[in-house]
Amino acid sequence: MLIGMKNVSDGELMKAIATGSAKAFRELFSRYSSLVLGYGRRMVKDQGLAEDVSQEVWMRVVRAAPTYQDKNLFRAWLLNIVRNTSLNLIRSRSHFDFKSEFNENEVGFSKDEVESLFSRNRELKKVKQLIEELPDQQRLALVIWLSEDVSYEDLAQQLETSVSAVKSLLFRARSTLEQQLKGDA
Amino acid sequence: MSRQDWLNDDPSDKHKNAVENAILPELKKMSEDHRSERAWRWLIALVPVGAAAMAMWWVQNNDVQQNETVEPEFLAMAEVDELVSGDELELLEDLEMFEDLEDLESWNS
Repeated sequence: MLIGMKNVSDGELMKAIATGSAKAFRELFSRYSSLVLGYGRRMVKDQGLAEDVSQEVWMRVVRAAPTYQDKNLFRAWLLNIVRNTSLNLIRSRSHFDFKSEFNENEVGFSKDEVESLFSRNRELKKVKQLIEELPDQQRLALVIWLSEDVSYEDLAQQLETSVSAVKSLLFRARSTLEQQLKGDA
Repeated sequence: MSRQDWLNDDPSDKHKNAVENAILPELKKMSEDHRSERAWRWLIALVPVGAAAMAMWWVQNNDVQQNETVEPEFLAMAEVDELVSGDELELLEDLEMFEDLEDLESWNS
């Protein structure tokens, strides 16, 4: 069995979880619980709901363990579950219209641009707060786009809207964050 | 701030316990399912071994019966061999008879 689990791959842990190993689950949870909770929190903007999302995600992970394919990149697979669980929760609670008005001149930007915007601001708590203060559509588009390896097309599909609308949402989100972070600098 | 630090939130102990309490019964069930599946796999793997053992037993058992019943057949076959040998002997005697050409010519006339 998996005695020292620190060096065991995520895929091996999933195989052990499929046999009912609580030890393997605890190791996997310790590796990714912050990411799952944080991504959920950035998405749903509420600590209680984020914890609901987290619990649901971990249940899905455990149930999927017997059929999990190790060829998948675990982190990407996990973030995919967090995103879908969060979006389902958001959609069940409110109606989001991602096909809101958009301006064709508002185009996308590189992920590094936003990441560097964050890195210039050393106050992590402030960055998280500013993201939560973004309008819902902008926040969801920005968080998914920055967290996962998705293209504009993928993101548009996830949010059930057009590529132009996604670019517009991202542009507005970035502009708002930039202004806020400059104001605080 | 390292890349994607903004994405992580450390869970509280309360949340960790809540997740564990929700997950542990599921893991227990999966463990039982896994054991049951493994037991079935063993049983299925044993089927050919059992079939081979039964086949060997049958062959051994059948050999004993064959020894009892086949033995007279071997005797009968031996008798046939003896008959064939007898015919061959007669044929050889005939051929020896034709070896003498004069005998053959006298035969033709």
